[in-house]
Amino acid sequence: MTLVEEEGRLALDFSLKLEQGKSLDLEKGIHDDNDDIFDVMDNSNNYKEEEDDGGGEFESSRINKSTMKSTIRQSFFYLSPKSCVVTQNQQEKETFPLKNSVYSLIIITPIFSLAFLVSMYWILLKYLLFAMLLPNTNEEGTFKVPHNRPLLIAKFLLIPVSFTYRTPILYCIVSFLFPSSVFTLLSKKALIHMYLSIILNIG
Amino acid sequence: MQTDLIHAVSAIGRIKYDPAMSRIAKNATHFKYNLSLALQLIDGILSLAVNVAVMMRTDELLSIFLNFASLHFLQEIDICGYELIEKGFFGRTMEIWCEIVRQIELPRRQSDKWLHKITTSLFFGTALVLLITYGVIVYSIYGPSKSACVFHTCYVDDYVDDAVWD
Repeated sequence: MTLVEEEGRLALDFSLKLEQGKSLDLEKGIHDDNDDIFDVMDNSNNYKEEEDDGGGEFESSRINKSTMKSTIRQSFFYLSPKSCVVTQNQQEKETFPLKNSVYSLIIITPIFSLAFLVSMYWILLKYLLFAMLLPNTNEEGTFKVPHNRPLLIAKFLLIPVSFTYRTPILYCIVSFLFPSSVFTLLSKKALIHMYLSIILNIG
Repeated sequence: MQTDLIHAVSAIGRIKYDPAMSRIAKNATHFKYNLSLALQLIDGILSLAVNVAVMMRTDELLSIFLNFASLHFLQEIDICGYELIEKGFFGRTMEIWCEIVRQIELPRRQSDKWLHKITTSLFFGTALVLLITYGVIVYSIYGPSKSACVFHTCYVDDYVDDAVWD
């Protein structure tokens, strides 16, 4: 089982309950879309079949391709977004682990304890460093900005960076884990799209 | 980068304090839970403010990115501290406290619907405030009137006639 499949299975286990009707429709939609791709490939195979007249060899390759098709179908199913409805009962059961940080330590430790003091030390140290740094940013005027268009554009683009820059990298890593059959079976056009998406994400 | 800010806002919006926590850790009171969230929120806001201020005052393209990397280190100081505690550098007792942290789970907030909206609105609200600040700065430089400069000291470069400012 590939990592992508395993991830998908875990996600399915974790997701509380799929709304029956909607999910079925969605899956049907996905399979319909996939079927379009496979129909195109089947047509091309038939065309080849007519040309080649391969016989026994063709039978075995056909079986292999059908296994590959089912693998791809599974991958698409696990990767596809799924609509789900969470019932009230399930929401009540849902829990979040406490974050592993010094902020969690100060919740559970007694105020007059070493653990509390050490945690507060790290928090206050951070506050102090920021407090020292903040006045330095205001030495020569609040926002000293030169007439430099590329610089202003870079600053504009960097504003949301702190919120979003992790996801594309994760996507790229996952895309390298796609089963090799995806690359062999997808049409040229779809492959170009896929590579373009990966390259853009790396950028 | 702004993990503290994101976590604090998310926890305020989604997670609620559970008195059952005190079965695992006696000292986990509601007050301390709120204190922890408040400290984390202040930390996140301070961090974001410093980040934006440093970015805005930097006047070289390469320096902006270098400053981003430097501030990343500063923002993770508390994580380093926690790792030291977790790995037993501050004694066995504190290591056990970390183990207790891992055992605690908190339930999802159910009743307060308006608090659910905080997560979304604060995220987009913060982004909007930053973009408006950026817009004001750009307007103060490239705006139609040089008097549009809203900050107490404005940068005057070589292309601007000094007489305009006098």
